[in-house]
Amino acid sequence: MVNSHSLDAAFSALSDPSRRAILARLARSERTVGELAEPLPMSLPAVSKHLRILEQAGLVAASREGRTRRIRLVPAALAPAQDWIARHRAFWEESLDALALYLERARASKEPTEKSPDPPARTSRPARSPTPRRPLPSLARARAGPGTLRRKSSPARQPR
Amino acid sequence: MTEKLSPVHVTRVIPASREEVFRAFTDPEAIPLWLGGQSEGDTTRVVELDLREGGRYAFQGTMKGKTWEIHGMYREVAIPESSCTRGSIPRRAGQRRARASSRLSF
Repeated sequence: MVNSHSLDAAFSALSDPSRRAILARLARSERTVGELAEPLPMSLPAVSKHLRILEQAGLVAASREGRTRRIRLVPAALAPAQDWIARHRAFWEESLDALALYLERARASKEPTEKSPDPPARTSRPARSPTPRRPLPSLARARAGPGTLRRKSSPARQPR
Repeated sequence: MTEKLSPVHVTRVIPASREEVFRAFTDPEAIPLWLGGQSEGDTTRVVELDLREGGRYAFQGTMKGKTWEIHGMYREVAIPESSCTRGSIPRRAGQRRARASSRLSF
C-alpha cells in the first residue's frame, strides 16, 4: 500500500507549473539553484521555496559542493504517483468494460421481441421501445427536492 | 494555480442512452453489477448513496483480491432529460461521475 502522505506530497508538489518546469529541466541534467532560477520569472528565494517543496516530496535531492547547491531529480519518487494513476486507470477500465456489458445485457433483455438480423444501425436512432421502463423512484424523489432521498443499502453482494 | 492538472482520461463509447448510463451510475441496484469489474471473485457494495447536491456516496468492494473504496459528495446532480435534446451535445452523467470520484481521491 502506498503511503498516502507521500502521495499527497508528490501530487501537491506536481500541481504547480513552475515546479513542473523545474522537474522537466532536472530530468535532463542536475543544476545549481542559480541555473534553475535563471529562466523563471521569479526571485531566487521563490525558487528556493519551490525547491524545498519538491525536496520534501522526495522528488529532488540537493547536494552541496562548496557554496553551491546542486539539485538533482529523484526519478524513483515519481513511481508511487505513477502506480496510483495506473491503478485508478485499471479500475475504471475494468469497471467501464463491465458497464458496457451490463448495459448491453439490460438492453437485450428489454427488447426480446424486436429481433433484427443485423445489429441495430446507429445512423438514425431507433425510436424508444414503448416498453414501460422500470420506474425511477429514487430519481423522482431526488428531483422533488433535497433531503428526500437517503439510501443506505444493505450489501448487494455478499463479500466472501 | 495558473494551469490545470491534466486528468486521467478513461473513455468508452457505449451504445446506450444517457438515461441508461446515468441510471447505471446512480441506481444502488445497478452499481454493483458493473462498478469494480465483474471478474470472478470481484464484489461491490453500495454503502451509501444520497443522490442530491451535497449528498454522500460510498462504494466498496474487492477487485482481483484487492479491496477498494470510493466515497465522496455529489457536487452537482443533473438528471438527464428523457425527452430529446435539440442540437446540443449533452455531457454524459458517467463522465461527470468518473471525474468527480477521481478528484475526490486526491
